[in-house]
Amino acid sequence: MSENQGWLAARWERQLERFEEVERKRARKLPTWRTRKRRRQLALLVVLGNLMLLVGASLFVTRQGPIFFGLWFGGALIAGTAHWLLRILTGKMSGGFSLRLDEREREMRHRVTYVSYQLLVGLMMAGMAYAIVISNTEDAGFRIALMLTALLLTGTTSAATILGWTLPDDDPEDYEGVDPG
Amino acid sequence: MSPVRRGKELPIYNRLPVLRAERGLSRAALAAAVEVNPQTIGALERGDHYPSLDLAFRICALFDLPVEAVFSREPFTPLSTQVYREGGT
Repeated sequence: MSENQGWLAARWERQLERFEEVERKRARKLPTWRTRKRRRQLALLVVLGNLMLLVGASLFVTRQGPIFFGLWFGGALIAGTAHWLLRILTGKMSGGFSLRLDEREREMRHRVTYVSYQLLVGLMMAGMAYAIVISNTEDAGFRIALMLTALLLTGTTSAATILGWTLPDDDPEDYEGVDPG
Repeated sequence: MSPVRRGKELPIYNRLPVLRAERGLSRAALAAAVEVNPQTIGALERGDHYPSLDLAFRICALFDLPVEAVFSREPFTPLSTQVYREGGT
């Protein structure tokens, strides 16, 4: 291994260690929220926020009223906050490097990302169909961009949403003897 | 989506809780020893996850037991029954 490669490997290892430390801290955050019920509530909030974005994008017209802004920014706030909380509550499986996952987590993540990838492909196809249908209308470019943004956000948040919906309650025994650090 | 497991017809039972209790190991300690996360040990004990061959061998090596003493296709009889009534076979 050359000196440059050795430096890169050491730097990568340090990055992974740093990431591991962040995940260790995250794993103990919001302890009373680590239930299937709470995760499912957040997953539903993400879906609601994404639906608001999609409806907002489809209602966009040149002269904007409060409905569009309410739906668009309200949806972004709801989906963004709920997704951020879900990322904390679903741990490494939704946000970490595969390298740091064990066999169960890796398999679970593969299944979830496969489903969300299929969903994203379907949403992008729908977006293309939408673009073709409205291509001759006023502000078509902006409307298509808004719709594709909403569909992309829906697709990319789906992995954490599916994971949040399916993970069981955390078992307190899993954390016995673990340094709360 | 169900937990990560296969083979409803052929489940894999294990003796992890009793082996841990005998040796005073927490899930976290066992998990650290075999390099998985504590939740994975919990999932194994609940039967929500079946181990890979590699993980099964690592667990067996830690307890210094053959695979058939730790994992089985049939439900295990309690160790006390096996030791005291069946002559430890």
